[in-house]
Formats: sequence, structure tokens, C-alpha cells
Amino acid sequence: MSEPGPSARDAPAGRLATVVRAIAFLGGVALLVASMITTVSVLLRWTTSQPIPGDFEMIPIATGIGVFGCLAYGTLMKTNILVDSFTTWLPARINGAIDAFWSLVWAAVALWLAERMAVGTLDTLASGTRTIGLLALSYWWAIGIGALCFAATGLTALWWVPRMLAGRG
Amino acid sequence: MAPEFLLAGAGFAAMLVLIACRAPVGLAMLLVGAAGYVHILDWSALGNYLKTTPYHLFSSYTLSVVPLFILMGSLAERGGLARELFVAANALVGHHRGGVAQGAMMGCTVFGAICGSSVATTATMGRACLPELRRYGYGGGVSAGLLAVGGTLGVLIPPSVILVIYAISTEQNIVKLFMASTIPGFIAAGFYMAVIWWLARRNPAGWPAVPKLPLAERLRALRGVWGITLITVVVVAGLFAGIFTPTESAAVGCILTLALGMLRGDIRGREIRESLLATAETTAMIFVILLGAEVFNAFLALSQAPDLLAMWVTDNDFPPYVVLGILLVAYIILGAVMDELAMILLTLPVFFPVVTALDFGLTTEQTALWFGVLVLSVVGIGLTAPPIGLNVFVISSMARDVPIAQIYRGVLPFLVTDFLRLLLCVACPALSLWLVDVLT
Repeated sequence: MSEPGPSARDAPAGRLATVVRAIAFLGGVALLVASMITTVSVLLRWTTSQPIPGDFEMIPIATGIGVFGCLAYGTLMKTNILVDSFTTWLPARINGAIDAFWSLVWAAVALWLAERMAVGTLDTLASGTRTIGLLALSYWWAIGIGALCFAATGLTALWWVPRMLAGRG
Repeated sequence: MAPEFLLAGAGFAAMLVLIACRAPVGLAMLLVGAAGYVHILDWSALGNYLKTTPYHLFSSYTLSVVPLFILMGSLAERGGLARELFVAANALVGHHRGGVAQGAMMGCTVFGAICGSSVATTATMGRACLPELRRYGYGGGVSAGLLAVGGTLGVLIPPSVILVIYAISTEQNIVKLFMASTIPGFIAAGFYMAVIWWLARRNPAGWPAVPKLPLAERLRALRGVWGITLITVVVVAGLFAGIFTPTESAAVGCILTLALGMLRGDIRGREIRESLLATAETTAMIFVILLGAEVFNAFLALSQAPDLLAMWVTDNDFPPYVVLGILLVAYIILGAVMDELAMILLTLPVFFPVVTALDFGLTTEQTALWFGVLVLSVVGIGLTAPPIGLNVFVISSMARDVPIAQIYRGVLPFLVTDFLRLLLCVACPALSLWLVDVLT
């Protein structure tokens, strides 16, 4: 199994890294907001028997956005789990080339998922699909955020390719 | 052989080859699952399936508990709670031989009740306890080994992210699974403390005691843990009493941990930012695998192989405990070479229908809960067992002067009790099911 990715000390720098870190931070904020809504709702349920209306519709959207926000940062920090037990005997350059190849494949898959989800966004908008519940929230925009986050993930994976090839991964 | 088995078998073989060639596990599952999906249906079906599947997966209410528990653990890690836990436990038992190690293990046990991740527990308790253990004269291998093992209590004692993933993958009740894992979790902690006691008796010089503190100081140290006690009671008792859903319990736990940390001045802007980014790393790691597993499982379901395999096992009247034994041995072997989360997501679609189709004299739900506890036990073993124990790597990164072989030597006596506990849980399902019966 791979060891953990780069630590905070040797975290990648540069413009893309800054943007990806900001997206992850906003994703984390979305998780905090979900926690806050839930806590207030639980408190209101205890004290007034009236939770925040539609909390069960808002929380999944907020956590979903939070998770999407984390994806590119995970790729930046190379947290994708890989099993390196069978390749440790290979020279570092070869392992770097293999990692670069898989990073390229991951980039292609993430960008394809971004394209699929962009289509999904338009479909959901066109069909007017909403959450089932009191608020009946439309959530096409959240799928759109997911598409953007997958695009950022794909670009981050591409960013790694030449660095891995050069042995700086 | 039925074509369904051939197809699913080819899928598994292809995935293992990709994984052996350094493909990230989530990506390998996604690629093979997508190829199988296209083989059974077609490209346009796959394209349609992927339009909203990632969104519906990531925004599932049940799964939202995962990032929230990770965030809670991350905030607790930076909130100074671990340090106070260790100080209090040390004040209580530190004057006995091996007492500082017992204190560290007690700290891991309590921290496990607010943190659902073994890596976070190992890292947090390691930072708080390792320097102290070394300062009091405990050997490097012994100190690092016991903290690597203590870190597994992060998943063995509920809440546990691994158990949430098991519950979601097998469509079981998360709260009941947490209840089922409580007694085995405390048995694990008890066994670990018994090992420390035994080792300290055998080699008193290697397991020193510290001077006994005056009563007033001990009471002061105990008062310091009111915060973590409050969080534990609210999160665990609220969950078990049915006051919260698991997601609510995690969310309230996050806000409580954050509020307490800010109140005490341990968590400020920088710590919040660090917690959010650390949460992002772990969340991304887990959800990429979950997405891969979702696509791979869709392929397996389309192939119908898991159901047919379960039928084949039932029709052939194999002895249930022999089948269970084979599955657990497979888990132990897999756990030695791959990540535990990936391992259970990879195997559950096949193993779970097989186990629940066998007759252990339990209801299907009871079998599912019991098997969940057994899976959790082997996950715990995989986290510390050589050659690749993730917890050992985590603690090794903090104890750079200690050779990894020495840490594994420190882990081994504890590992023996892990196998003993696994056998106990296999032989006595009531250890897992009694509390569920009492509380529900």
C-alpha cells in the first residue's frame, strides 16, 4: 500500500495548487455548514419540536458539494490509494513513469466524468427535477458544481504527469 | 463454469492485475466496472448511468455521515483533547508498573469513541503520548508498537468509518452495527491492557512507573477531560438512545468539538483551516474508492454472479463455519497487502451474499451484524500486521529513530490477542449481538 501523500511541509505550490486548496477549503466549509444546519435543527427539534424545515433536503446537498470540493485536493496531495508491494523492486524512474501513466488515465476519467455530469446538469435543469420533501429544492446547480470539481480533479491529475515523469512526483 | 462466474472472475482478475501494476484502487475498480458494464449493456447505458451517479452517491444522506465523522476526528486531533486524555489517564494509573503505557492505551480507547478513523487516532495519540513514553524510559519499539495497536481502537470502538461503509454497502442499520461492535471493541482494549500488564511483569525494567501524584493533582487532571467526556456522551449515548441519526450525531459532534476547541483557545483560524484540508484529503481518498466500488458493484450486479455464487454455496451444503473461516483467512491475507477500506469494498459484494446465505442459526440481520464485527476485527489486524500495517507506517513517521522491524516486534504480542479476539467473536456471536438485543 502506498504511504501517505506529501505532507503539509512539502505540499505542492503554484497557481493550480492554490486554486485547488481554495476549492477544498470551500468544500470543508460546506461540510461545516451542513453540521451547523443539522445541529440547529436538532436543537430546535428538542426545544420546540419544530426542526428546520427541509433539513433532510439541504444537508445531503451541502455534504455532496463538500465531498466534490475535496476530490481535486486529494489528487493534488496524491491520496489515491495504490498498492506498491509488487513494484518496489523497480527503479524509481520506472515507477515514476507508471505513476505518470495512471495519473494520465485518472485525468482522462475525471474529465470524462466532468463531461457526463455537465450533460447531467443540463438534463436535470431541463426536466426540472427537485428534491423530494418540503422545500422541493432544484439541485441541477449542485450537479454542475460536481462537474466543475471533476474538471479541476482532471486538470490536477494532468499537472502531476510531467512532474512524475521527471521524478518529482 | 457458468458464464456469469467467468465474467465476474475475469473482472476480478483484471482489477487485481491493474492494482498490482500500481493503478490507484478506486480507478482500477472504476475502469473494470465500466468495461464490464459496457460488455453487458453498452456505451450509451454507461454514459447515461454516469450523468448523475456521482452526485447521487456523494450527496446520499446516509453517506454524509462519513465526511462529518472525519471532520469531527480532524477537529478533535487539533483541539488538544488527546493530550488531556493522556494526562488524566496517566495521573490515574501511571504509578503502576507499565502505567504510562496503560494510560496511553486508555487514552486511545476514549479517543476511539469520538474518532472513527484508525489513522487519525494513531496520529493524534502518537503525537500526544510517544514523546512522554520515551521520556519515562519506555523503549522505542515498545512505545511505537503499542500506539500503533492502540490506534486501531479508533475503528474498533464506535463510531467507526469502516463500519459505516460496511453498513452502507450491505444495507444494514448503522446504529445496530455500532452497538454490535461495542463489546468486542472494549474486549480489544481490555486485551491490549492485559498484554501491557503481562509484559510489564515479565520485564519490569522496560516498563517503568512514574511517581504517584497527590490526590488533588489527580483530581485536577481528571477535571481536564470534561470536554471529551461531554462529546463522547452526546455522540455515543445520543446515537444509541435513538435521539440522533448517525449523521446528526456526527454533525453535533463536529460543532461541539469545534466550539469546545475555540472556547479553550486550542482551535483558531489556522487549526480550522488545517482540519478542513486534512478532512479533504481523507474524504477524497475514501470517496474515489466509493465511486469505483459503485461502478464495479453495478457491473457485478448486472452479471448476477454474487447471487449465483451464494446459491451455489447453499446448494452444495458446505459447512458454514468452514466457509466463514476461508473468507476470514482471505481477508487476513488481503489485509496484509492492501488498504482495508478498498479490501472490504472489493469483497463485500461477493462475500456478503455468501455469508448471509449460510445457516449459522441466526437471523439474516444477526448474521450481517456479526459478520460486520468479524470484518472489523480482521481490518484491525490488517492495520498493524506485517508486512504492511498502515498504523505502523503512521507511527513510524513520528518515531524516525526506531527501525520499523522493532515497531513490528512491539506490535506482535498485541496481535496475538487480536487473533484470540477474532476467534472469540467467531465462536460466540452473542458478544456482538447481546447489546443490540438489549438496546433495541
